[in-house]
Amino acid sequence: MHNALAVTIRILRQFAHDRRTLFMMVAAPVIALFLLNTIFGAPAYEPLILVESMPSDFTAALADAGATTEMADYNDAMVRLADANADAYVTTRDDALTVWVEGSDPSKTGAVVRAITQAQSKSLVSLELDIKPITLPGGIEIDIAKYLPIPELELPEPPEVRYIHGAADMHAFDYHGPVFIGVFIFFYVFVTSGISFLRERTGGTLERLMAMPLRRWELVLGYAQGFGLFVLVQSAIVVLASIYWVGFPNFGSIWLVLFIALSMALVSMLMGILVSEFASTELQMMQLLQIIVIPQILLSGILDLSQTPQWMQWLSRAFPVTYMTDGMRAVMLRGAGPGDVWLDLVVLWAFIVLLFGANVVALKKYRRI
Amino acid sequence: MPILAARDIVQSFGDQDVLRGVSLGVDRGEILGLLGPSGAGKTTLVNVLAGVAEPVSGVVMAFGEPMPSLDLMRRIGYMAQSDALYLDLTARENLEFFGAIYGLRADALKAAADRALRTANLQVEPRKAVRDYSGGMRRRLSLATALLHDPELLILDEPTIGLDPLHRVGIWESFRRLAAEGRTLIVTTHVMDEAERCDRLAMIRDGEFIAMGTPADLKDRAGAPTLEAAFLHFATVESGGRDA
Repeated sequence: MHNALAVTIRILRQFAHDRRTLFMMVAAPVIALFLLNTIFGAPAYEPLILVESMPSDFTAALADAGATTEMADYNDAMVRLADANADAYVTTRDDALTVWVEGSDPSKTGAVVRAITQAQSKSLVSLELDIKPITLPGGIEIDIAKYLPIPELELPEPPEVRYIHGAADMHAFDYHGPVFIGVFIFFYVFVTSGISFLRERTGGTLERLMAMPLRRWELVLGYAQGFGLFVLVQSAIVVLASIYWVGFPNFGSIWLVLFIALSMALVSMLMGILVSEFASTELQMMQLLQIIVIPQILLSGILDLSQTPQWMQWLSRAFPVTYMTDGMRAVMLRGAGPGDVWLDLVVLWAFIVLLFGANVVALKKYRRI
Repeated sequence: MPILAARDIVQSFGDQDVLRGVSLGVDRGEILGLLGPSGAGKTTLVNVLAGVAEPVSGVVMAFGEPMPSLDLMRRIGYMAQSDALYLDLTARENLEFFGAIYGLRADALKAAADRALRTANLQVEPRKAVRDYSGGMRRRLSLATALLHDPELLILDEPTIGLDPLHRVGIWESFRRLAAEGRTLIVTTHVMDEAERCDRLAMIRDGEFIAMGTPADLKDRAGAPTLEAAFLHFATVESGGRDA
């Protein structure tokens, strides 16, 4: 036990001397969160729609629906669409409303369709929406209609929306905020602990320690304690900065959020150390990171997996990050308490115990006893 | 009873045999030198003797008990070929860490560190990180960490590499003093004048001992004026049958 404490003290002293790492571990995730929040908090996109021989009430309704409109004839419009200098061209052909869209960005196309649909019902022009396939400069033809939602032609009374969770002023990104907090902690802790342990090996100190009366579990425990204390501070700063400075909504207990973040940090620390066993240089560590960390982040719940094949959903259940995501969202967005997220926490701590044991066993490579 | 005895040590990495059946014994108060070119298997042998690596076959007994053993490691000081120091830390912090693992605390730790630094001929700077030390200073600090717990047996892999001659002489005086106090030392080297200072030498080449004896004895048997010439003599005699 004294030995583990000696390792812990040494690690904390190394941190104390390494101000840059100290700063990076805290600043990097906070900066990234802030940037994301700014991007996703920006106002909705205003599509530029070119119109020709359309009724003025329709054009006015387009502007009301959040689009910018300009007059253009067919040839001019086609040139501008081809160069992606406009999003759509609307005109009437044989009494039918016809829309050409630029079409490379589905979210912009969606904005065009929404604006036109809204304008259509407002201006009481009852016309068919006919979206022709467009040909991109490379000669590739895209049937854009396939990617678009079926427009509602009738505009009903706006419904009264009541929120069980969340609030009307939540941005789309707020749903992802809790996930990003965990994912950044996962990523940065993995890299720092993995490389730190790798240095222990490449610098010869691990071999040296294995020639000393230090038990393998004492070394792993020492690391877990040293990094644990450090990631506790780091998680606290990241969580507090996310909620109180960047402004992620939190409807749950801040302590529970912190506890989930810390649990995740411990998992990634032990995972980083274990993975470093399979790398002999820092470059190899980065390569392993690409196949071990990136898939976990992709399947963590940042992207909705509910419609993906079953195997992918099972795979995501094999990754600890998924349980962090579930827990964080439940607490921060739905105000869940410990009783609601206990299963996620149990799984995370099972991973901690499992990875701890795996590290102790992996060190056998250097010394059997 | 020898302090350390190794019998028929075979070690291989993949299909490459690095040690092909090496045996040795070292007695209390003796300085045993392992002399050989790089790639001869010195470091591999030293790692096996120190219990850092386990051989494919063969036995190492230290103080009459089989290695590796955590309890025996308390009585052994090991200095690896790499300095094995924490570069972010100061010299004192390095010593405090390694000392703590050997169970030294507070005043005892401080006293042990001062003694080890004297033995290693090193004066440390309080605030300087080891990163900013010269290669020679790091080497001596590494030696000091191996001496901290006042071990009965010291296993040192190239302890004086990169040192200026003045420090080298000082350190060999320390080794001599430690041996006179009843400590036992195993030292690898490829420097001939250091080999001369050992009580007994084992010449190693291609994973085998080609000769063992006191420096004077080895020169006598080879009929050579220097250890270098003696090494060449034994190397050609030994490899004559095998390489041909």
